[in-house]
Amino acid sequence: MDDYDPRDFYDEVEAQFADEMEAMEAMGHFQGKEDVETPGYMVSDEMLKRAMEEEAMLAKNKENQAPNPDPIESQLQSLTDSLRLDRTAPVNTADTPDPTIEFSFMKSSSLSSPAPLQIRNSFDKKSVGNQGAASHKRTSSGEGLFGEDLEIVGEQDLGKRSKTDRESEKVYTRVPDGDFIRINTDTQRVYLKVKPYIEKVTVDNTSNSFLAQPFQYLKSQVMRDYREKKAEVEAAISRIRSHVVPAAGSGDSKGDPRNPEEFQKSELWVDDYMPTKYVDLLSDDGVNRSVLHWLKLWDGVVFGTKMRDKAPVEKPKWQSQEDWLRYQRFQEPDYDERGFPFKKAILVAGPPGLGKTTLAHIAAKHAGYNVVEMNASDDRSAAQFGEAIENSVRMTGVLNKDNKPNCLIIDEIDGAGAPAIQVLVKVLTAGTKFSKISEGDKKKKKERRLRRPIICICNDPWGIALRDLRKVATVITVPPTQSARLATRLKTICTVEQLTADMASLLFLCEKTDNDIRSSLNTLQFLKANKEPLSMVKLKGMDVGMKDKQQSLFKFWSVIFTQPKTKGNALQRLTDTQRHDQKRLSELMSLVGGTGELDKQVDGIHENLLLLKIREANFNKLTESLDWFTFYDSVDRAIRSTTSFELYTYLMYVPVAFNLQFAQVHPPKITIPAKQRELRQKQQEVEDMVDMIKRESLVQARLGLSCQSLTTELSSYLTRLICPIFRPVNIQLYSEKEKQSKEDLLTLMTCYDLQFVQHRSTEGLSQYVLEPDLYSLTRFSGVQEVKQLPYSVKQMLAREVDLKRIGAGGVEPSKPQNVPKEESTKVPKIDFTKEPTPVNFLSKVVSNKDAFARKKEAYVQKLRTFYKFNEGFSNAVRKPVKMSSFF
Amino acid sequence: MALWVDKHRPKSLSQLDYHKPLAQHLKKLVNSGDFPHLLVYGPSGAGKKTRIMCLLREIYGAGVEKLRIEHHSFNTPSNKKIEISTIASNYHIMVNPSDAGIYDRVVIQDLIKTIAQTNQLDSEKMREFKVVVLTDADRLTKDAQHALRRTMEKYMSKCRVIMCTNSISKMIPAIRSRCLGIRISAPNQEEMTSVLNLTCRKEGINLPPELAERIIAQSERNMRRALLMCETCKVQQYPLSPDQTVDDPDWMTFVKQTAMKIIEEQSPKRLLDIRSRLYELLAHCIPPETIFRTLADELVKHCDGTLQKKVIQAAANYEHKLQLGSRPIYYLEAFVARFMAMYKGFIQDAIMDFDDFDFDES
Repeated sequence: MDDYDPRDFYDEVEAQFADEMEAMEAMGHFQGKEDVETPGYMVSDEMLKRAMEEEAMLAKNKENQAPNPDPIESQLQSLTDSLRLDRTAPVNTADTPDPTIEFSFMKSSSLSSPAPLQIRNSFDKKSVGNQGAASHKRTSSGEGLFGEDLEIVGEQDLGKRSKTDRESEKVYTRVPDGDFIRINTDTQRVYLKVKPYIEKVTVDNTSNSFLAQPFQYLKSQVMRDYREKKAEVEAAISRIRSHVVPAAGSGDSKGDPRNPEEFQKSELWVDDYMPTKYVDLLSDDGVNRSVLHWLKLWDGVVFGTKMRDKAPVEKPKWQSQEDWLRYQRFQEPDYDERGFPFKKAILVAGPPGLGKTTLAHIAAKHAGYNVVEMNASDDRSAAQFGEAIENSVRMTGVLNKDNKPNCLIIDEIDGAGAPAIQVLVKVLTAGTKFSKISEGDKKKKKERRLRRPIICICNDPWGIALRDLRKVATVITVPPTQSARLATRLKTICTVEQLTADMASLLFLCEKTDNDIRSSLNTLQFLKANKEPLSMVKLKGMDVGMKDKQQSLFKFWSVIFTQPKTKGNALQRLTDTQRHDQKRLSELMSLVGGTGELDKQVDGIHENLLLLKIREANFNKLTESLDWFTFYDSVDRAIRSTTSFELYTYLMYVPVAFNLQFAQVHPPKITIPAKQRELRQKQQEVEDMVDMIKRESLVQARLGLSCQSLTTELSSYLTRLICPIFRPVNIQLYSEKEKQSKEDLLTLMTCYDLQFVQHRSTEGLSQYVLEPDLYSLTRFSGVQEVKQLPYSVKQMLAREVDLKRIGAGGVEPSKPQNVPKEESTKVPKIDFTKEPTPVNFLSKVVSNKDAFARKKEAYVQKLRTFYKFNEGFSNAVRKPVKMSSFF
Repeated sequence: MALWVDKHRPKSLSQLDYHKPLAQHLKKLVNSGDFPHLLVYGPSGAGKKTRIMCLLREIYGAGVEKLRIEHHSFNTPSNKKIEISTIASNYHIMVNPSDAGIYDRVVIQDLIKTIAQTNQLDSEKMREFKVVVLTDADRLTKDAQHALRRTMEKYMSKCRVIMCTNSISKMIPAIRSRCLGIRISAPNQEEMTSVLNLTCRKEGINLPPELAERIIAQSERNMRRALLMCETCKVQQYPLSPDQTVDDPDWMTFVKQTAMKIIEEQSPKRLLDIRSRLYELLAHCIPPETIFRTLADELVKHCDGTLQKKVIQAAANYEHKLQLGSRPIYYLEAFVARFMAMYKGFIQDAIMDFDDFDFDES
């Protein structure tokens, strides 16, 4: 009782409500009312009335039930008007809070209002049984928790009174000095001393004076006190009304109105009006609840409270996806077998200025944690990160006087490096089935599970570094704050700060800052410094509150191709055309600058331009606009080559020009520009191929071989040249001429290192493909493809080329070469640069060597056998062959 | 020796078939013992490299024909490794710096320095200097050209630079002034006929004069292309007949089709179609200048006198701008759009005139 802080109680009650959405909403509604305090009083008044009635009934019951009714009651009843009992008795009177003090607390908690009355009543019960019992009844009907406590206290006190000596100081067995009241019981006669009434009237407001007062009087007094107080602290109360309590000194100095000028100098409004309570949060209710709900999942582990089972949710009738998702969420278990929440961290994501950090702090405090924050300003290397987590989560600080468990809040987690996040993930998964620790490690030491909640805050949950974290954490995205809600809050702050502002301009400010709480507050504070009333015109003319916002490219393109919506009627539009155009231009310019990546912007415009429905009789507009591209490209090149970035200003006009020329009423469908990249890729492929041909072809052919000549001339003709007309007969049956053309072809192919390579197509057919694929260089859509050789000829050629490459085919160029050949890298070992003698190996060698040498030479030559595995087989031509027959 | 182009390439200055006075000049130049840096320019297929090789042979003798392929690797300032293959003999090295892309400056600096720093082994027999042949010099970046200009002077005693380029307009004036420019013009019709006939005689083939004429017409005075066409004709149908088809390069067929499409219809939709065709051409690494020229030539065929001038002017204008830019598609497309506008206007005017005429008569 002594150390019971009604605020804690309040929090607890609220937390309970928070778990159940409906209850919470009702609560929010209740709290959201203009007058928080009054209902509290109203309720207790009603309660009192009800209690009075009950009191009478109870009294009757007691009379009926009790064998010997207490005579004290009736006697005391008669005395209440004139007398006051001495309340200096040690029985819990000293602890009774002063009603006025208590009332000041009621700002924060309407529900705590019955507390002072209860305590007073507990005394009533002892001394003035009838009234005490009734009052007690009243309190218990109001608040179960308090009522129970009081009953115990009351009973104990009664027991003590009859026995101890201490109490006999006040309750006398003998006749005391001065005025007294005699009380007879069955066994004893006692006397109560009566003190003069006047003395007590002077200490009217102190603790023990109102017992003897009539209820009406007490009530009016309390009301008067309250009104006085209210008048006194009006500024503060107005803050309280809007649930904004000054952050500094929220615990004690509630009452004093702050001098606005003073703290304007010292502090930012953002800090000043930061919410301190859960209900004050501006962020989306759903998000707040989710975060708190998740925190509450830890109660079992952290506080050892019994976890509540989920209320069974009825299976929805597939009405909406939302229903289904909620059902799903309720279906899946939150806890694992040991009562730990499955997701040991929560990732709160959203753009800046939505109050994510505030939410995390308040939710954690609300759930009874001591907040340990870690942000980008801390050292966040992997090792440091791990240590910090260890310190804050697994230990309790010595200096933590509240002895509350820690809750780690990692702010700006997307700024931490990937290794640091890996450490975090490891901590989160430790001891669970997600843990990646191998079996051996597990045996050595059992990993301890994380026992404290971790809240992570980031702007972009889809960062690559956060990928692993997303899997093991609950991800909650904070939606933008509603303009109306933010504007209302701003309005209240304006009232407190004595800044005149109308709702419309505040709404405009919200819009301008994209509902960024921080930014709008800062802007307001800045405006306040001007000491002028806030107005729409002024806001419009200001650059403050404008964020340097990044637009997505898609949005950019659709804006470029869409006409801005004009307000007002046609006449107005006509008159403001010039102003309107200027505005449009400046808007577009800021859009271009804000989006960045000008080259991508222009690329996108280029690709999408011709997809638009352009109705134009002559081509003038289109021609002109296409010239803009050439302008862009030339200037861009100039910027790059001479690094004269001052020219960049002019490039910004390029997208604007397209908007002015081609903007349509309806936003068109935008496609991602890919053509330029595709082009570069294809060009690269071709260049690679050209490179390969250059590298592999023989040196004589290299002379006329450049990228240009290859792509524009050689490829076209080479593909035709390697396709002479061959009769589809066996190679042995070729005529001399055909053999000659075959030889020419083979020379040509080796010269450019062309080869037919067997490939198996997806349909399972094998085919010979030219490598490098010159055909791809000549293939154009709509142009008839170059005729290719039939399969059998390709096969024959492939074999012949292989043989020729190996050099054992004996297909030497018939004419003596007057230019010595240089070998390409693939052709092994035969040095054409020397005299041609060793090349024609059989006939010429024979002539100038003796028999043995010849044999040896022949043997050495014979040993150069090559085998080639041809894919596929047929049993039809399979026959056993001796190894020697290959030589 | 595979292709006729390579097989029948003249080996020495005296063997050259056309531009004989030039050959004489070169011969004299070489015989005088020394020669300046050279800038050989002319259209492709005119015989620039052939003449350079002949010149080298004149200087160093048959030794320059012992070619080998060398691979050089360079480290860029950003520590990227680039590799370049060169064709070299003991006396000269032939390199295409544009293979290194934007790092051609490094190639120029390193390569020429290494060459200049090594002396000829046998300087009594040979010349004191070695020769660096830079092919595709017009594709050198400005940086590389600036790197070259000082090097050319500094190492004059050890090495000579012969640059081979299609157009000197892309060479910086500093380079041009340091070199002796040698223009190799494309051979005229008679010269080409004689070369074709000579080649066919060497190959033992009878070339009908009508076919030769057509080949020359289609080759656009490009000797290499003419020879390739001739050889292709031979492969496709041996006893050559006068009415045999001569294949254009495939891309050229494609450009001609594109031109037809432009003439057929002028609309944004058609322009989109043309754009994808232009992309296809560019993807095949066909130089944009070539596309420009071919396309303009084809389009002009369908215009009358006044429009022709305008079209050619527009083409020249856009091609010039193309040299200043880096994304050829923009210029090609802008040119096509411009042509469409002009052509459409022209046709509409013609119809209006016709209508007016009708009206007057009635």
